[in-house]
Amino acid sequence: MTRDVEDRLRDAFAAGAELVSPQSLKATGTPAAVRPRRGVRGLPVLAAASVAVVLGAVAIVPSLLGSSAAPPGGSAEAPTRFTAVVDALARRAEQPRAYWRSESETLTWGRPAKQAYNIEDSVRRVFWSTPRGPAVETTPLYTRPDTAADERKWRAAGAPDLCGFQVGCEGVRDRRGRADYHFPKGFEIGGVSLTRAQFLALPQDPRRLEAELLRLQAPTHQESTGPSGSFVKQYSEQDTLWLMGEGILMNTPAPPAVRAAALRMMAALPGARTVDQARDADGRTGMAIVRKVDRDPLERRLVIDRSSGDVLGTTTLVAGPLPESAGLEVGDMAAAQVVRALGWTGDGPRLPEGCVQQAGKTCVGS
Amino acid sequence: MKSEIIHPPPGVPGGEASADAVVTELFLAHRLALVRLAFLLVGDQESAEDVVQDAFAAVYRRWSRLSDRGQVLPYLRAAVVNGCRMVLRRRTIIGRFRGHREVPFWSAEAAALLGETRRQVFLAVRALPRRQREVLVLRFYLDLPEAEIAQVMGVSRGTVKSTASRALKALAATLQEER
Repeated sequence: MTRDVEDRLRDAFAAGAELVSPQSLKATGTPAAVRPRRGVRGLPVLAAASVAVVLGAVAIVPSLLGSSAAPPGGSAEAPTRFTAVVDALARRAEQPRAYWRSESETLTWGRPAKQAYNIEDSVRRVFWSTPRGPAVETTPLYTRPDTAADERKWRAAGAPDLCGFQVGCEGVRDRRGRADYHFPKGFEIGGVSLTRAQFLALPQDPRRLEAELLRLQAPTHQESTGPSGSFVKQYSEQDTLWLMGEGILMNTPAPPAVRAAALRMMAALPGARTVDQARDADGRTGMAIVRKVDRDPLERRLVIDRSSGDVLGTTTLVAGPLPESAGLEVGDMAAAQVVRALGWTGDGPRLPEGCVQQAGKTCVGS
Repeated sequence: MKSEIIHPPPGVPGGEASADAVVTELFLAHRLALVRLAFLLVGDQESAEDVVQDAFAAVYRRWSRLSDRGQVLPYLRAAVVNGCRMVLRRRTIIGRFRGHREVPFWSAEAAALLGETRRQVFLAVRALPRRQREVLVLRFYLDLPEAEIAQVMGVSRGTVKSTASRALKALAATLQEER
């Protein structure tokens, strides 16, 4: 019961705190905004220093962002603000604790094969770093018709059971609400598995990080055909760097300076731009790095908190025509990740009874 | 979205950097998290922002007297918790004369945003004694270990442990009744 209460407290506090959005805070860029409330002498200086930091950031926009200085669709100030946020992240010092976790909900929209309605599928994933290695906790949450119109069509089709994108659920065990654990040998980022030592040693300079990631992915990138010899459409080098960047930010306890380097690297990819106002799938606002995927007609957005630089989530929007069978049109959201918790913690995963964390093993929750 | 940031920004080893630079960095990096902490304790954003502003002002004012500048964040958190206690005290005193005002956090709008289940949790937390509320927020929102909670609240680790235990027990009973 106490454990249940603890979970409810964490959930309620996290949700309650989100009521204070970064945008809702009083502006801090002017002396008036941080004036002393009781005749404090120091604060005008503090306010002036805030202004100085902002002005300083304007003057030292890294050359990496040169290509996105006046981004289409983004404000002219976005790169400057982005730089200030990422600079602060790079200077952040963290005190590691026993466990690290990144908890997110992955939402996917689309049309199951041969159906006339779209569905929304939701899966909760927690990437853990524990003293025994990485662990991935996966809990299917729900699959349901997307809109009211989709629900009508689904009912007209006999309201079949939905298991992800599989209709009918024959031979599929209902795993909704049940957590499965997988213990990979390394931390997975964009198709590459890294040991803890490897990702701790990742460069803190964006150009060097990019070079290192390209070096790491080289062995896997050469596999351009499937096992049967069929052609597999490959992600471009830049697509893969983006995915690896997301992996560093969301799947590993990489140091803040490495996370900052990953953000700078992603913002500097060809075609990437920073956007000052963006929302994640949960409606939380932040800044975003936006880039169209080379391989598919999709646009990826990585939304970060405007204050801390931590990832709030990702969204994938349809940016070009897809086959009709996909059920999605240009501008539709195809997928999203909403980060619920990210960072070090004193509590580890609650493995099912009898489950022992061992690299390469899987535990199925009851 | 919590991070454990205990030290001032790198580049200021030995605390030789100016108060302007360091406090501004801290302000940019931690203001939101501290406002959220205060918000969970006092229930309205305006008071929370004022409390945090005062906490930063106090750090700035006492910069030259801070003995351990590697502990600025715990100091800030302690200042925020103390500031929240003062807000609640003032609110209690004013309430005796003017009647208690419902703070926005408990409003119908916030309840709609949070959902009824979470609102039940908040109402149960609000009914706890002040110290128990603080321990729960520091433990389950900031994920602080007992030692740091003790440091922030100015009590012993044993007190943190027993207070948390009593709070959880009381909450479990309250929430169980509501099921």
